[in-house]
Amino acid sequence: MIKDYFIIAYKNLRERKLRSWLTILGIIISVASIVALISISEGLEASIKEQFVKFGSNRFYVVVPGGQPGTTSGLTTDDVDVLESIPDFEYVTPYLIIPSVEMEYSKQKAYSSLFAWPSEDSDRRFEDYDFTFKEGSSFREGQKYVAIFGSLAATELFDKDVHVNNKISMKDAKFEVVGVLESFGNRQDDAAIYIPIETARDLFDRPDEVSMIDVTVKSGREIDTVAERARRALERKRKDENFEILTPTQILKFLSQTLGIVQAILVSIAAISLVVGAVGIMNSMYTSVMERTKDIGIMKSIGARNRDIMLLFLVESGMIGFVGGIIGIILGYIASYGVAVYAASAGYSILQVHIDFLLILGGLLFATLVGMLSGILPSKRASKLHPVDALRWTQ
Amino acid sequence: MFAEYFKIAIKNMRNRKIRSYLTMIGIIIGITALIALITLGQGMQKSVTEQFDKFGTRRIFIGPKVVTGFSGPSGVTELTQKDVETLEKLSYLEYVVPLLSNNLQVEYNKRKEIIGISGIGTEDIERSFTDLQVELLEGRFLEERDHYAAVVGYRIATDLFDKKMHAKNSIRINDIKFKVEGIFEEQGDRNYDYAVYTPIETMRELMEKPGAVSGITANVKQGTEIEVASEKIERALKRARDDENFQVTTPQKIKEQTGVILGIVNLVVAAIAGISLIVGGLGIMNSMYTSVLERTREIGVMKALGAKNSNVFGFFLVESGIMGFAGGAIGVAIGLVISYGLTAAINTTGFVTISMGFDYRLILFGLAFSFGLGMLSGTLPAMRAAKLKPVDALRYE
Repeated sequence: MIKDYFIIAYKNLRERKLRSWLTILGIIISVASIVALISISEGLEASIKEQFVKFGSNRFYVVVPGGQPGTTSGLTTDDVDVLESIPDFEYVTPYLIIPSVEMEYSKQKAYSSLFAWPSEDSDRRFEDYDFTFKEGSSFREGQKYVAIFGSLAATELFDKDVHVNNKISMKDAKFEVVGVLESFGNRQDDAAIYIPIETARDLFDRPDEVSMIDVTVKSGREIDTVAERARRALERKRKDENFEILTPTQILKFLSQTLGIVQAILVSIAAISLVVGAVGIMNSMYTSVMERTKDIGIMKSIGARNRDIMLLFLVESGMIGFVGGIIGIILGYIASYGVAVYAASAGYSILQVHIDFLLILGGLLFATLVGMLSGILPSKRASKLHPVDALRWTQ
Repeated sequence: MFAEYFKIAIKNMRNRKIRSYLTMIGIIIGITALIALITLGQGMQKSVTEQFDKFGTRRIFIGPKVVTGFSGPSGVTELTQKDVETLEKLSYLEYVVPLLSNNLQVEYNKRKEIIGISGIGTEDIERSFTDLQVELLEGRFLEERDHYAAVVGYRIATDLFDKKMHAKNSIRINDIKFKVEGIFEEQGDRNYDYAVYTPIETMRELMEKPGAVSGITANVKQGTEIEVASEKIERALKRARDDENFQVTTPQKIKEQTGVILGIVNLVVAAIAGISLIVGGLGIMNSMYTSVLERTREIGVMKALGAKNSNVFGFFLVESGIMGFAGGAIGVAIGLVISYGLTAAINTTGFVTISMGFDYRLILFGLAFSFGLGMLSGTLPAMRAAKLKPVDALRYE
């Protein structure tokens, strides 16, 4: 019985091929744009999460809020000492970030910021951060004028590529490049240059300044409890609350909230086209009903009930939505893969598109539902036609 | 002749009212979204750039170099008092005001908040603010003899702490007692309304950084081109410092940069909204194909009576153009109303201010665009109508 509805609906759609396809095309375009936007932003969110997992859920950061350009961080080596005295931590990594340092390589000058961190246990820290070396290796303890280049810093900062054993001069000191890193897939990390923190303190005259502290928690400890303990210890020592502890959960929450808002705005703008597409379905169905007034009259006079007619037209409009949904989802995914490929070529290979079955299923259901909803009014009109009037009807 | 096309088109549209209205609704929705979003975007762009205009045409900012692409979070002052002295010697500068900013803990009425505080050179502070039309609501500006003294932005004084702050009140910054000497008038701009200023020497003392400077503003004397002055400053600093670890910018430059970024955002949003217009155009096309089909006989009769292909083409095209135009006109009107409403709503939240512009070019564009879209969508159906053979068309059932 239900099968008959589908057969009739399909036949009717084929009979007016051009109109059906134009109506379906409207749905295709809007579903494709919605699917593309959602899958791109979900891909972005997923890859950000992935990077966090890589970075370890066993670490948190101590920073000073604001971080406006030109402000000093206000963290010092005293704070590092406080944290190091807490037994819950595997180790504490203080960072000193020195923005825009002039450096020279093969007679060319360039500016880059420096990340300075301890040379002690350098191997382990690099490993924990999932750094992999393309060339060379990490700092040896006691090495002074040595540098490690991120993959982009090695290739893009100077005209000539930087390799292990090359010499870079900064502030009248000659640094030997001991390592070049593999790409992380995002420009920020790939553009970094690392030097030992002790060297940076001497060279840039920053005896006790710390830009950021990275704390790795021993396995088995609850990170939020430990972070709270660190907060109290720092508050006691510093006698102020002029710092902030960022746990991965907090950062992730903030990032996905921001991303969620952007996604919601863009998707709702794109969804406007779906409304327009739905109006198109409604229009096309009204025309169908009108053209088939006579058919409806005949069907009714040989016993079709109102709800049979209604269902017939609803199935037809639902079909338009469904077919538009399928093709739209396919095209949407193709478009988002295109964007991902483009982003990768621009240095952001972290954007990965995952096929999300929930999105596909939801998109299909939604498109079908939109089709059926837009068919309700026209179907009602069809079902309410009087058989006699309908039979008598001429165009 | 053309009037005739018009009459026929209107009549035909009236004959199939529901279909015509539904087709127009598609265009209305699309144009409404487009106009509302563009108007909002332009308003935002305008209010942002207006803020830079407030700086006037004589102000120059000097700050540490920010390297795009290869820069981590900056966290260190790279300028020093020596740079301020270099600038003070330049004859084409009217005054030079150094700044040293940092986030510090401010306590008032038993509440602690972390606030960005700017140490500022007191010598020309009054001129520097009044040149920007930033006036005081209460009290006075900072003076050279002030030590633990502060001038506070309007929002910090009124909203941030549960109790209102007034001149002569005391607050604690990093646990040191400061006297509030003045309170700024409300500026409607976060940069001023949430600002706290203290003398730069006090700030250096708090941060234990003698001679530190995080930014410098300089005013160019009347008669000197600002771009010329900014180039000269660059050269002078380069010579004195023997490096290029600084950046000289003018409000115009920043304005251009932010304008470009906002323009891109607007373009993306408008493009996404534009998708609905494509869908709406498809709706017109569909509706026109149906019209042609239904009126096949009519076309046959007209042709038999001597209508040329171009006549038939013309009146279907006019019909689809009218549909687009009418939808566009209604869409423009609704879009403007919505954007006025949203602007008013957003402005009352106080988060950002959006200025409301009435851009007649946008309205003309909206109308012309929807008319063009209607005609474009009607072209294929109209061509099919024009090419019908009279005999076939008459025979059609």
